[in-house]
Amino acid sequence: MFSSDWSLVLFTILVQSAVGIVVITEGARLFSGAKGATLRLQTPTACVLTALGLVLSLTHLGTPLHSVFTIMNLGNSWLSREILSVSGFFAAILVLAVVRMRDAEAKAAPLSLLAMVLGLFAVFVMTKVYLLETVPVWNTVATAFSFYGTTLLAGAVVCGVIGSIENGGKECGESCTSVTGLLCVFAQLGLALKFIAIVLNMVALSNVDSLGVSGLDIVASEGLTVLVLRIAMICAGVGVFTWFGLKAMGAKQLRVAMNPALCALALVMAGEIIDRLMFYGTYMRIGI
Amino acid sequence: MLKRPAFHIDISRCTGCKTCMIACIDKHDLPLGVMWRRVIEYVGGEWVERPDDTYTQNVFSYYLSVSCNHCQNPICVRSCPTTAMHKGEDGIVSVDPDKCVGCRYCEWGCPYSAPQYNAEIGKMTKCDFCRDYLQEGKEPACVAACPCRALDFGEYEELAAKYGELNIVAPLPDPNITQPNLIVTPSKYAKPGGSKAGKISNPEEV
Repeated sequence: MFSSDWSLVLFTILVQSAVGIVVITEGARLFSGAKGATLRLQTPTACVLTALGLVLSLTHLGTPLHSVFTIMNLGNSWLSREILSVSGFFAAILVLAVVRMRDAEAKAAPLSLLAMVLGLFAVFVMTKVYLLETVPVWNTVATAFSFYGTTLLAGAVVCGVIGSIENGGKECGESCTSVTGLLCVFAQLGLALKFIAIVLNMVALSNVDSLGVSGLDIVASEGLTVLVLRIAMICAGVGVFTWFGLKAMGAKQLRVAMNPALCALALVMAGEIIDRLMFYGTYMRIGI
Repeated sequence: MLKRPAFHIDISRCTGCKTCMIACIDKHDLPLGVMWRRVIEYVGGEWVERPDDTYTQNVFSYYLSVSCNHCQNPICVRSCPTTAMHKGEDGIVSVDPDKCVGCRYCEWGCPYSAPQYNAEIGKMTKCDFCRDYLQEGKEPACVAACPCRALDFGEYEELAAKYGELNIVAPLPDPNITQPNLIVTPSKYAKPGGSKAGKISNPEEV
């Protein structure tokens, strides 16, 4: 059941996490008046994660030197569109990261909005890559729920960890707790999307078989324990993150405590990696 | 030159000897694990109650020799990000090795497993209908090698006039997805498309 497509697993998780970071923090700056100084490192981190994801994606290719040709079929291929849209998102956050590093309080509202829209669009296109009519297990709305769930869940927790690193010892301002509250809400929302995706995915798996093997048989025979473990991990991760986030808000602290934030990140990322390995591992195509 | 090249499989004649596979591998010098033509064994059956309350069985088995069907609406061509996978003027779907990036997205989509990844060169490969043989006026290697004459090839319209237009039996996929240039003559045991009566018994071979 488990796939060896590690490069794709890491590429999708890293880029979706980066999109989540940008959407949450730039959204907080734009719409909830969050202080820029407390969110200075978020977009540059998203930039590094996206760059890392793009580099890792090259290791999936048999002939990486030909990757320049991969945007030649934009009219038909969602894979071409994915490469272009992720590159566009990367270009936008690269410029935004430079702006943020120079002046953490810089407004840059149009660029900020553009980066958010391009990020969400990139996740949409990443979803479409997997909506193949010959792969019914992937060709459901569960894939969209799963990818956007990762975006919000991993994005929020990574944001929390970066906040813990950059805001140690800083004084708490008026809006300092609102960002932590937002992160908790987005982590919960991401978790809810992941749960919807799991249920829909099980329905899809029960409806397909390939080469005489039922989709659910694959999960039941090899992955039931891992499925439970994966759900437990993301739930525990979000639980730890939310609990300590609420504690920080109650104590008017600027950040989630470092150790719980790292613990939440480790749990959520481990759960997400298992989730994505299972996703690729349940690839079942119709036909022969 | 053919304009719409097609293959015909006569299931009632195919014995599953796999000579077509070997001829293809030999002709194109394919490495281990790369199979441009594959022979699927589809089997099934169960106990069936007779009117006199006794039981009999309806066990069945048949073979399908399938390569690329050089579809009219090939999903591999639609999904290929580099346009390396293309359908030429001669109707043959082939890979341009100077463009292929080896992402294997075509392999994910094709319901006939036609695109085959060659790890030695890091690129996709597939049946080219023995284009060189066609230009020399010869039959494709698989067709020429079949000892039972279960395989045939030619212009789609001519084959359709000769054998009919059936292009699906179980476990072949819905032909509406890619519109394959494939014509099938079923055996008396062949199950209709979409049937779940059997399963592929040699998945490790295909």
